[in-house]
Amino acid sequence: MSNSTRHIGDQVVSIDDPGRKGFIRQGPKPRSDGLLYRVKWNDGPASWILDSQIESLEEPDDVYTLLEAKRFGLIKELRRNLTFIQLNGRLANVVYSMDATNTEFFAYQYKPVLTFLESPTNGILIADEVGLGKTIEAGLIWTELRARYDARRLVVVCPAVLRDKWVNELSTKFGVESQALNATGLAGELRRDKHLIPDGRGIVCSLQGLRPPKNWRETNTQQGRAELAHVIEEMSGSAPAIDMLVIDEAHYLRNPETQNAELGQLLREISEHIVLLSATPINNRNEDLYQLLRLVDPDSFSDLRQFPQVLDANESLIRARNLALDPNRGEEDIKKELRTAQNHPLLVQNNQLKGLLDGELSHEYLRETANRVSLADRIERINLLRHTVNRTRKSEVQEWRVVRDARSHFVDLEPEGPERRFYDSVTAAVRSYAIQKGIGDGFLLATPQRQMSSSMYAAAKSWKDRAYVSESDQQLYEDLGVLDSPQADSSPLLRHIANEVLPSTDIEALRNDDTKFEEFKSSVTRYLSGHPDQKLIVFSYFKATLAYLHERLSALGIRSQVLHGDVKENKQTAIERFRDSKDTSVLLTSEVSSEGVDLQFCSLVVNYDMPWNPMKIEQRIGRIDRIGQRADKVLIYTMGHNDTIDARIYELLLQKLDIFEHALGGLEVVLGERISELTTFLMSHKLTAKEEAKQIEKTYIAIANNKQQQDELEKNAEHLIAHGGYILERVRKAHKFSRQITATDLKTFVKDYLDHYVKGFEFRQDDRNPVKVSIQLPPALVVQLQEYMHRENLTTGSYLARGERVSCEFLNKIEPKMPNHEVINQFHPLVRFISADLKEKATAFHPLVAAKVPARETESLNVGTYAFVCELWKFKGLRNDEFLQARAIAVNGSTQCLDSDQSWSLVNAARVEGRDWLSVSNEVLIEDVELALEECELQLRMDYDITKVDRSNENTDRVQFQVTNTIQNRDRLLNRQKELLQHYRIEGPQQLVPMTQGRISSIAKRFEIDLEKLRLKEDSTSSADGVCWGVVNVV
Amino acid sequence: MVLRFIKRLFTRRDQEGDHTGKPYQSQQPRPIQLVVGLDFGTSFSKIVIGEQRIRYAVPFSQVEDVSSALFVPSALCVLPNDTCQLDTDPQKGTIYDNLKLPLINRDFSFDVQVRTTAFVALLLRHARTWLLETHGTTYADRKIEWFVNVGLPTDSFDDEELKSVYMSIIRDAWCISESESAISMRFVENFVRQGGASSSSSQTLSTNRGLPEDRFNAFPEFLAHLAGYVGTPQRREGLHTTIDVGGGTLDFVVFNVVPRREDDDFIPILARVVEPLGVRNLIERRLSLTGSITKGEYSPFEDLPSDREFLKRFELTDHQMKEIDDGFLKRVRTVITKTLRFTKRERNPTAPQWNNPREKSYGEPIPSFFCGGGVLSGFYSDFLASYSHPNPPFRLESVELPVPENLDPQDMAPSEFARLAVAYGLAIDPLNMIEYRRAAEIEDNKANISNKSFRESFIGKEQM
Repeated sequence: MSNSTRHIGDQVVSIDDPGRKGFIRQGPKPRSDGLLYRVKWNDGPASWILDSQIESLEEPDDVYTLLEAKRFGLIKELRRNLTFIQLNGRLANVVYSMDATNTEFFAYQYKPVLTFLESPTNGILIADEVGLGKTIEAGLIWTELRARYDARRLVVVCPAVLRDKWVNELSTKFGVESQALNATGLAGELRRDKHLIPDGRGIVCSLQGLRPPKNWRETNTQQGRAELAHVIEEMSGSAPAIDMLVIDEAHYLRNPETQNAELGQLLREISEHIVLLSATPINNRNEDLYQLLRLVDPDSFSDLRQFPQVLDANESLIRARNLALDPNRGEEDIKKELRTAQNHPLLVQNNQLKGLLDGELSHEYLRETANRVSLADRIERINLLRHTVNRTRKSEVQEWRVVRDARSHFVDLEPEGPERRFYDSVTAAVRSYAIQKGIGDGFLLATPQRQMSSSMYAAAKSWKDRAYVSESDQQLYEDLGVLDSPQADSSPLLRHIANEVLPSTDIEALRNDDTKFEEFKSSVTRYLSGHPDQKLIVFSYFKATLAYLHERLSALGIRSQVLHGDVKENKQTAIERFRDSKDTSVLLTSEVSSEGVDLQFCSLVVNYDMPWNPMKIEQRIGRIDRIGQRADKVLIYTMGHNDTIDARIYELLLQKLDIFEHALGGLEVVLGERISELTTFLMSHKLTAKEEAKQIEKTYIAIANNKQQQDELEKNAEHLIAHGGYILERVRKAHKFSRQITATDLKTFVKDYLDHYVKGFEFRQDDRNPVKVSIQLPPALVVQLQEYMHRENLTTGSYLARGERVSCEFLNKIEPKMPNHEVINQFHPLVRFISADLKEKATAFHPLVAAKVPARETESLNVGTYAFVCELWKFKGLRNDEFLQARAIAVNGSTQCLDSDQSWSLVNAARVEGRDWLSVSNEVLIEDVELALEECELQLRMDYDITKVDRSNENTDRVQFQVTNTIQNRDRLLNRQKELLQHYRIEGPQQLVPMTQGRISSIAKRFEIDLEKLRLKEDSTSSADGVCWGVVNVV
Repeated sequence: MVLRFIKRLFTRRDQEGDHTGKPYQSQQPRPIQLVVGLDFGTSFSKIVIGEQRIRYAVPFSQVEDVSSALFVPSALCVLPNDTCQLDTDPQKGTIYDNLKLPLINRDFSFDVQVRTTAFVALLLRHARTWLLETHGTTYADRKIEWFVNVGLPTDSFDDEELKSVYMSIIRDAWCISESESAISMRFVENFVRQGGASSSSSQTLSTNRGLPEDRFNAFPEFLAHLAGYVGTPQRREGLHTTIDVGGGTLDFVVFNVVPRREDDDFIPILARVVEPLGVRNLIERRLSLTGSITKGEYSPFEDLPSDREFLKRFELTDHQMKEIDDGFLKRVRTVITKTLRFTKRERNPTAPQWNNPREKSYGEPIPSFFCGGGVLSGFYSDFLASYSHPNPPFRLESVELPVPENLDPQDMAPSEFARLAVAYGLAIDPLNMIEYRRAAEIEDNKANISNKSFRESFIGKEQM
């Protein structure tokens, strides 16, 4: 505001760059162009400026007053403003984990992240098919939680074989340093205050190592797994001790009668958030799904009897959703289905449904595809399973293009040759032993048979050397890939065979005339000569075979690496060593590499021996046929001998089931049972080749029937589980529209703050990398930062908080810590401190900006001038969310705003690629811009009102649903405890009576609080505030 | 919203009725300073026009390679009809190159002044016209207050007579550039003969609208170069050097960047040397020593050939060229090393950057700016790289200037910007140029210019 008399210390603002503020330090000084003042700017050093280029800083003006005065800010204001909101707020439409981890971007992997964020129950079951990266999805959810909340304690429970993989992946992909703990370790850890845990640490435990023993309640054991169960139960009434619990391969918890399931229930009680991972959540009944959902959302799924009703209620909603997406169906069809849904007792009071039925679905509205998709989403929101399950199939994933090329390499056994004789003798010996001893255990009987099929020489040699004597359950896992091995010892059988068969066997002849190895040798050498830079994986379930192959390949000059359960080296490290080795081209591995490891840097898998269980084959192939495989085609070689049981199983079962070329669905348990039955039959009867074939065919038919049923179930599951197409679209848009924080955003954010509020800091940028900076903070700021970290319990070390000069890199990625190098990402304490401090200071940014953007950077917008308004919407209720919303409109008298996505595309293009539009004042008519901005505000108001009603209805529905379920759950728990109390009173032990009474009181209190919390959240509140107004010239 | 609309309606009416003291009702166009930063080089010249928000690098031709258009050969072409233009094609007229060196060498003859004035006038006219044609809309409602800042080699800057002649050439050139007709040699000669812009007779020239004297300012080139560094996050404190390799000179300056006092930048120059060791000197030496090759085969306005191209073009072997370059290299090395030795001995012996082999302590390398046309030559960059060796008497570390965000065009490569940096640094309000102190004004071995490291400020327990 032009004023010729200014005083030292007066606050001023630059007229041409209205985001720039400062105070008069010196002047006036006359010069030929006018009076000048020296102004100390908030964001930089002092400089002389013409009096006519500054005005007094007064109360912030209404944006329309600024517009009339043509006070357009520069593009940096928009960037600062949006970065501040993104870092400070908890925006529902910003995916904080996106591109922040060391994982490749695949849109579908963020679908569970968004579903989880929308889930009012803080849980999700991720039921993606094998190989789609469920581990990564869980890691992304944890990253997202860390960005949004003070989430510290992550506990992963997985099968023991996957423990190393989890520790490794959490560290390398998500920067989460983890430790593997047993039950005692976890119990000790849980006793610690979680706020004392360093930020970003994880705990990985094996399922087998944690599950409580049977009758643990009755025993007072204060050791190991029983101790852990007691500790967890004691904590169950208090605040959650675990921020996020991940249970990998959660199908092991499907059966409610097992100790695995009990462990799940116990841990759920003390976990704020839960993520279950399983490719096979449904075995052969919907109850399987229910049991897992009960873990995800115990309040909503507290009664199995109610579950069919939930599924039933969803049926009509699914149909209505499909109709909404069908361009040939109109309002009447959709509403008819919605009315059917409304008749269901669970949905009769549903406000969202009522809202949909009361609203008009005009022909014009339904003509727009975007509106239909939005309607489908609104219907899906009522789906009671929408927030709890995420299911992605390979067929839906666009990124999945790999073709499987399976080839069999079966060789003939010379009639009457040493191999044929040996094969027949061993088979006969096993069968006679089974008949003699009356053994019906298929796995036990199959062991020698399978070892022999693997490699006759290796088997014979191992039996001769009596290597089987010391082998334990581990061998069975290696051999057959079963997690819980039956309590059986195969050594007596092997001893029997050794005695019966070996005396008449010429072991050296088996080596010299090893037809299978010769075939393997020629296939492998042919492959390697054609692909000299490639590596391949050879699977065998028998350690002796692996050793034998290693030795023979070495003799051929082919370097190989052996990996099985007895190898001391960490599995992940061993695989990395193989991957990085220039000389080693063959990995010889047992089943330990068939689960949970990524070998997609290879594109050939050799089944040197063939598991009979198709699921095991699928797992082997799944190591290379997974996300990240660069080759268009993966090769699968299967080795074997013709006219053997293996050959018959290959032809009559595996090939017919087409398991080599097409991934299996969730048949695991069914297959296990069928194969076990088949094995037992084949091994315990004297059968001719024809009889064997007949039996195998019978099994095929049974499995094929199961497969059909499974496909049916899968189809149903698709109906039960929300489609999520809308969410996927949101993910893609978030990625495309750069709805994430970039390294430059972070650097500007920190530098801006230091410039404005801090004196005496060092911020020295690297010559070549603009986001690499040497930083030293002054003592005053160091103290503030330390206090903040102490207050927030941010114990992750930062050398900046010690006042040291630190080489930093702004990088919105989670990187493992490196000495003398600090990565500043959105989680860094300095960024968190600045966000909090700016919030406290209620920092205001210049709200009106002008920018120029090349048309190619926008979502196919026409060249011209556009006005836009950004608002921040906040909703509080069962879920607290913030949304950054925008609307834009062409400044040409148009009254039709761009849709939300186009509007965002424009605003983001301006933020990321925009340049200052300095001539704006002379190129637009202010009155036109004013009208356009008002139109945007009006549209935003309408958008807000609609969203508000939807959110409120959704909130009320969810709260009501949860209140009902919480009461049911409370009553169920109380009844159980009361029964126990009664039992203890009558039958003892009496000392458990007061404990149980205490628990009853604690449960009642806890539920009272929970219900009160829910009721408080029933009344949702919301607000909408303008954040930024602007004009964009699309050129 | 309705309420706000009514409120605004009333506010507007109030404002219409009363113009005094209302903030946004000024009827006078608001002034804006546009500062022409002119880097008049021996071989090429560059212009950047700056204002508070942005600095425009002025292109001189419409070629696809935008960055090469930003460098115009420092040559004047006089057509047969006496009209002057920016060109180097001898087919079109008489070419006058080598315009700057005579001035720097204190040749203030009439001819030198006229040619230089004509050339600078053409530059200024082009720059102004380009700006108004390209960005006229931005300033349509503003009163433009022009400033012209020029750079001079450090030695020349301290030569008051030279500076005075140089500034009068610039002022004359501005006046002439504002004339509406084509610029002819006769016109320029008359103008200069009559005493130029400072003479009252110049008022009679229909062309002259003139600018007050305080609009023309000269600064040492190294200072302008630094302006793009001192205000950036790359800034470090302590000893620095600039090695400005132009066409005709190598300008080596050793200076300190000292902590800001009240946010003012302050640069004491500790030592400097300007020697005829520029790119053209190097090329000439190579050409003359190869014997069979005549001097005319290399034009100073060609893009400087890389060493590899040079070898190929003149059919030299690596060994031959090394032999030719060795003597030149020795001279460059001697100049730099002597200057650094002098600085260490006389000017700032306690700077932490000095090596002290006797105590087995090796300082941090001295950040050095390598600029001018020489940045494109492998010879000079190899030379500078040889100073990054951890064990020579002095270590220099080449620092690349960051390409500023407010430069138009965007996305310029750092090596290209290095050639533009002086013009960029000059395009700011003269009052806001960094404060510096001449070498002669700095006493030797002063404690106030030492840069003790933080660690050195403490007394170790072994000293107690």
